[in-house]
Amino acid sequence: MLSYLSRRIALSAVALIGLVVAVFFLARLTGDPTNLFLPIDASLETRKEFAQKHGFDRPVSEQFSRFVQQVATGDLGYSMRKQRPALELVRDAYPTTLKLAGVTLTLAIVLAVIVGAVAAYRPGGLFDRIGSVSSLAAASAPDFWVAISAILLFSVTLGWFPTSGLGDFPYWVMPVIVLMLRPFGLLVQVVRASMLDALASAYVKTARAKGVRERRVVFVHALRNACLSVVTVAGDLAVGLINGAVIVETVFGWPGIGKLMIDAVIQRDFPTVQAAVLVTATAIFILNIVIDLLYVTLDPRVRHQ
Amino acid sequence: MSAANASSSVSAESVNIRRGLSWWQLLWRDKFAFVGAMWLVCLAACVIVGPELLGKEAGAINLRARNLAPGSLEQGWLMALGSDALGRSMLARLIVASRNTLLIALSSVLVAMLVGGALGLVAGYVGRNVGNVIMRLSDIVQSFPSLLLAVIVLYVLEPAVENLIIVLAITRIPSYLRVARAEVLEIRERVFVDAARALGGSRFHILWRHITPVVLPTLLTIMTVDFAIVMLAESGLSFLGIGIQPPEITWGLMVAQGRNYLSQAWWLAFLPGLAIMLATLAANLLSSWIRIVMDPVQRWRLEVGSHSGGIQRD
Amino acid sequence: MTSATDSRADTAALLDINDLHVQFRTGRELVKAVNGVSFRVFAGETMAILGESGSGKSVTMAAVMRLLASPPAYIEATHVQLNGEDVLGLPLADWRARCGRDVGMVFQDALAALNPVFSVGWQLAETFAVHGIAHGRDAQERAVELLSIVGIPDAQQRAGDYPHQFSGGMRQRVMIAMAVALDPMLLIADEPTTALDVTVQAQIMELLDRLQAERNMAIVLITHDLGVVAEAADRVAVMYAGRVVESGTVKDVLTHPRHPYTRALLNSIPDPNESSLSPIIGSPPDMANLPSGCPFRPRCSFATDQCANEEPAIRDAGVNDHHSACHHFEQLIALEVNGNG
Repeated sequence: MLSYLSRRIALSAVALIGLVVAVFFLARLTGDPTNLFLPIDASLETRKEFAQKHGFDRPVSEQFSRFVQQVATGDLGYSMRKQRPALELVRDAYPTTLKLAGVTLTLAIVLAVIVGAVAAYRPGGLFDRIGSVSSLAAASAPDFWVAISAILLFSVTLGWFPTSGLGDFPYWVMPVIVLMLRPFGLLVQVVRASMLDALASAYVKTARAKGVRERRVVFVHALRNACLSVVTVAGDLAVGLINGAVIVETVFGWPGIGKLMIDAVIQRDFPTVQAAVLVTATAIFILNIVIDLLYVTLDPRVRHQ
Repeated sequence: MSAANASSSVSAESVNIRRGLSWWQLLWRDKFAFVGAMWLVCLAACVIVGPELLGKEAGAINLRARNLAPGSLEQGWLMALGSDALGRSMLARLIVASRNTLLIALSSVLVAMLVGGALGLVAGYVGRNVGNVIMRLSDIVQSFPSLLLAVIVLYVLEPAVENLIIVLAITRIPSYLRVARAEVLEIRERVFVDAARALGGSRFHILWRHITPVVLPTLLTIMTVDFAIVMLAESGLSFLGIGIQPPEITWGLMVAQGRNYLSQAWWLAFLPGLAIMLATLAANLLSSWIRIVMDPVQRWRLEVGSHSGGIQRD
Repeated sequence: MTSATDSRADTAALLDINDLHVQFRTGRELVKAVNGVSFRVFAGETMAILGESGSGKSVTMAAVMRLLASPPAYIEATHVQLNGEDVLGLPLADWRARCGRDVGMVFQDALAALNPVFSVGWQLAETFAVHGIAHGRDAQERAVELLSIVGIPDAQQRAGDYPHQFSGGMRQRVMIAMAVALDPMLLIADEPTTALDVTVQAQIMELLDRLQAERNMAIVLITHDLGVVAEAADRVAVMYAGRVVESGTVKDVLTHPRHPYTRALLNSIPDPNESSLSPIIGSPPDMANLPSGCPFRPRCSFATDQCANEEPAIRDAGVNDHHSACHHFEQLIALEVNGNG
């Protein structure tokens, strides 16, 4: 088990380092990094001053070690727009996104497991059809359009929910439902497929021959095995959730990391963009480790390798 | 039951040999996929001739016909889907914008397939080390949220159409790469490849003549699904203001522009989004049909209708 | 298919199968896996079902246990009775209540047949809990007891282990423990030793023997191994192409086979004194396209036109309920008498 885990962690670490390196070189790709930080009409003087202050005129290797040092000590640059260290901005924005993602993921998993399990239990039945329709819709509908249509219908026309903003329960309904669509659609199919596999397996045959009632066979014997495939997919799901969160935060005006990043891009605030990217990459790294640990806990076969 | 397994694999082979139904007939059997295919054909027509036919109408400012709601033919068929704040026909604008929207998606998918497929072939066939390096890079790309990746790349490089296509392609390359490599690794062990090598075929020759024809259909299947994914991604980026920039237009950008008029003229944001959804829906329906047709066991279900149960005695 | 007359007709059979048919619709094919199988098993005896893979032996017992998903399986029989009560017509929930309690089943590949995510003790304890016999701590204790009964050392410790942590032979013992936990009157063992080493095979067969003696259980032993039949079974039913072609006591059938297939099977056993092998000519039948008349006809050296036109009925072919489904088994008797049997 330890070797399995350490190998996985090492791979994730490589990915993280690769990303950090990529960010560094990306910023210098166009030749003159000052373009990213300063407005286009900045004078040559200002550029030179800026370049000197931030060491852009030094050799690349020196710049890189300086960059690595800064990242390691948590100095991710200074946002000139907001007049605050970039890391602070990111730190303030993260809790909102985490809460949104956490609630959405939990809800999506719970609902998808229920719908997927029942769909496999009665193929062709109501839940199966709900499952396939919602998966198709989730894979086809642009989330920003669904969000806007939802606002149009439920806020503007019906007045049930507020159009945007952060607050208590009514403010959460539409953002969570819109964000939940894609992971739900994907998970239902995953759960259904692995449930069908489990229900066709030899150990289910044994359980039935033992006299276990069908309901228990499905929801204990089969489901417990199907959960493993949910965990396997959880990593991809979380990453996709970040994509969705960017859109949802922008449309509903939530001050999370997604909105922060998009605003920073439009305002040409590179340090903030860079900080957001690096922190997100680190978060994904940690998440992958957590998922691996969870998998090891759930699958005894891996534990005893 | 070994006997039962043996007979179903025999039936799979005989299905291929017999080839009972043509593509058209198979498509007709799946009504949803058929409608999807027809819709894509319509869109292709819009893409090819739309801007030439309706370019003027899409740009014709007519302040007297401002913000017309869709649904009535009073002002002529062009206004059947309403008009925007400058009086331009929504129908015409949608058709004209289809070219950019669909061509960007198509180009990205093609680039991703060619580059991803080629890299996958290389990773699978050439030595272990090269393969590992390629796979690690692919993992790095795949582990990061594609939207953020696109955002940061488009920030650094200007959001021109070419850059947009390249960055979208990059986010999709890993899936083709992975599949191509897996297929190559499997085929590599097969006897006919050894035979070709023994007969003196060069590595490139073997890759091309023997391995590519087997890998290609799988990649093509992925392309249809990917087309939907890339369309949604580009629309999202354009909606956020980071993708296509005016004066170029895509449906995603139209949604963003219509967002300001949500309470007065909801169709400005709603209709372009609906157009995106219909296109991706059609692509997804078609791609699930392709997957069914490629799998001999499921393909049979399309060819034959349902049958009655019960013991057959003779 | 008429059922053969049974000289033990006055004693009630424990398991009575009469004219069982099982067909599968997979893809375009209709596979006729079981075509009119009838036999009886009496209390306390070991009945072997002998046949090659594809003969329908496993499907027959899976159908009796109602473990086949329908569709794609279609099952029909004149009757299937366990201890006098109908099996196939029972509501599934009621039948499940009898599974494990009145009849237990052991499968071939214990690694696949045990749930990988639950401990062995948990799975054993579940048997008691599901039938309401014992719960919680009580069930766990019984599970441990059961493990030591089937010969697993350090049972208390091992109960917390998972299936993949056991060796093949140990896993099979666990499966057997699970099947006999509630003291059923019938145990169905589907190729219990096929996946095991020869030495382990002997141990498992010994375990089954001991359990049978202790609990007076009837055993239906599905196997393709003549050696196992000879060692462990009282009676045997030989199956070919979904039919019982010969049945009787093991001694009668193996020493005086009355069906060309059985005879060919026995002849094909390699003899160290012979320099060549004599396998059965031809290949196993395609269950989706069975020939007309007798299914063994293409490979039978006694075949005539009658064999192609008419399916042979099961007839009395000797003492002790020795039955054969062959038009010409008399020829085999003649060969025996002349010393060529």
